[in-house]
Amino acid sequence: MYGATDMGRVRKNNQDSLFFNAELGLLIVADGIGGRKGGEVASATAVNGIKEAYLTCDSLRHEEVKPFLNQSIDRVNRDIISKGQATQGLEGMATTLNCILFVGEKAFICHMGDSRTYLYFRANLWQLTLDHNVENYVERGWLPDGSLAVNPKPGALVRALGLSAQCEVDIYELKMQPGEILLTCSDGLTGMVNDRRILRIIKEYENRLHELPQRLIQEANDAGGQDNITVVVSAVMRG
Amino acid sequence: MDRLYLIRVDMEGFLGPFTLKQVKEAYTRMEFGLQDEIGGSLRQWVTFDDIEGIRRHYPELVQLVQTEMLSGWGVSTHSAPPVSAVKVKLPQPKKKTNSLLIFILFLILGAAGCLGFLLVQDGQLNNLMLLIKDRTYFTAQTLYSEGYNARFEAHMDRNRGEINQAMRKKRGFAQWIPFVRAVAFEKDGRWEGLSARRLRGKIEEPLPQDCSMNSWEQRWSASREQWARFLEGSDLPQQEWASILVIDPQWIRTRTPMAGWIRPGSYHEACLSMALKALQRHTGGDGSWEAKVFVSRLRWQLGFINGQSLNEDFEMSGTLWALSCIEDSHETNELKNCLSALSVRQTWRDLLDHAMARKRIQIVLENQSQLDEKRLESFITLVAELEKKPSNGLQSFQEELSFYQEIVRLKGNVQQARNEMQKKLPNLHFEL
Repeated sequence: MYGATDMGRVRKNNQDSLFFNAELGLLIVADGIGGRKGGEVASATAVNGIKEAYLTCDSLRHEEVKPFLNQSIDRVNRDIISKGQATQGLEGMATTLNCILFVGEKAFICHMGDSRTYLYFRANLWQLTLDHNVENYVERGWLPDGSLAVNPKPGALVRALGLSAQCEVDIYELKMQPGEILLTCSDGLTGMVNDRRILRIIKEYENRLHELPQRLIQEANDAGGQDNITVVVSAVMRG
Repeated sequence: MDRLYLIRVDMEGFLGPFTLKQVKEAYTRMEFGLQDEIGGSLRQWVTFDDIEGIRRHYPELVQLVQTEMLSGWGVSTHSAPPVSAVKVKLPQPKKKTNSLLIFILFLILGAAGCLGFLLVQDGQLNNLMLLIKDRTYFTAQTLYSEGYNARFEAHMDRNRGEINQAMRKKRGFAQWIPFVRAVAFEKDGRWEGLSARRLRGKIEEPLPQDCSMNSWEQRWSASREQWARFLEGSDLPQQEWASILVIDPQWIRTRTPMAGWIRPGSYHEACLSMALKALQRHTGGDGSWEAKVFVSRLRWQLGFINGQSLNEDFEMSGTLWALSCIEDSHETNELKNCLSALSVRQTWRDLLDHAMARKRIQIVLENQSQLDEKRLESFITLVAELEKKPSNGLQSFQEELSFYQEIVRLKGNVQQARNEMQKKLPNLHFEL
């Protein structure tokens, strides 16, 4: 597992938070939203909350992973909301979340918001997570057609930690095999670099994964670096 | 190198990456279905039942989808032959005009206008337009006008392909989804060709993504070891089977019918009904005492939602007895008995306390259109207590709280507060 985060070229602070630990089999990427300070606090609360929940729980069996993730994320969501309500300047803070827990040969990917996880395998790239934004929701019929007219930003988030007391998180299960690489990133990368270019770069760095996060960050910065950029790659080693 | 595909199953898991051959093999092993999605590298995710999408993005899969997947469900996959660009010489109309013809045309237009006026007066024009534009939908609507019946169900089943096709457009989806849900939850909670998530719709409450009978059977089967501790009050797992058993039926009744639902009136009711059917099938009607209590509780909740007379005997016990006792109480004295001799963990205590606090308020409001001074005073205290209690984490009672605050603002005028709330939240029905 390799990862890095960068402020980008425009922002004055880094509202992305990141944690990864190959031994624990856990990686978390969160992209904070709200105010000057709120975003930072929200994303750090999410990352720390999930990390601590994982460190204090007993070993998980496959069937226990989803309930564990749901509970931990629900708790973190409540934390973010109560911190936001209790502290001046943090009102309305929220964060996206992409968190991967590796249990045995399976990866459990939980996702809220528009940070993404991609799967790379033999020069193929798939976006595994669905961005929780207005545009996608209207497209899938989960929001009425008029929503885009009301909300001028098609990329506005519909789901994120801290937005609502009821938090619904997507949890995907993926059986990993040697040669597969998961790329988890904030929208600071995907907003600047298109999928085709990302695929090309991964292909080029497939055998130098430790350099890949920095290389992708550099690419996003070269394209303008409009937002904070966070990238983590995780791979199953060939046996 | 072979092209590779990934299959997203139930929006919860992935199969692959597969070659085309492996996709076909996985289908023969029934590892995925029509409602699942396929994605190629850097290509769009498309559901298998979206034949137009498959044609456009994955032409190499058309044969598999048409000959094996869709045909198995009696869906017509026949496409109209392409229209050849042959120029046809049309007979030229005679240019000669005739005053008699113009007179007849005026007569016809006049008659059509009169007929239209009469139909509009009678409210029949919409139906006529619908009949012309969408015969299948018109028939479904006509058949359902007498309530859910076998002929309606057969019509829906027979036209499944056409309905699925229509539902790909947003307008068609909005039109058909209430009928589709009615049929799906009358049966096993699935509609072939539509994902569980779309069948569910967007719902704030943490209800399962999939409330089909099969998914409930898995939940009951996997949780069996926890049932006794749940009923004793030593454990309140944050799992879907436990949540459905403690969900407040009054909350659901206040919001029924929800938009997009006709029968059942909401996804909540649909889940309860599927959970009940699945539990009965899973235990084969000869289950443990815990299963009997669960069945009773689910029947109680469904009966409550539908306002049925609940005179039958329910085999309740432990925590679920306490919860149902609270929900069934109509006097404060009755409430006191509900928690006697029950020692439970804090999570259960919080949940029961919240239910108790809500019920106390409902009792004060029962049959009252205007609260007298004494009642109002007690009501204000109870509302303040409820506001302080931690939410039960399952349902948001924010609208209920707003209603209560409105009553306080209007100095106990319940009827007026109800009318005000009705204007703000027309889909909610606060009972008095």
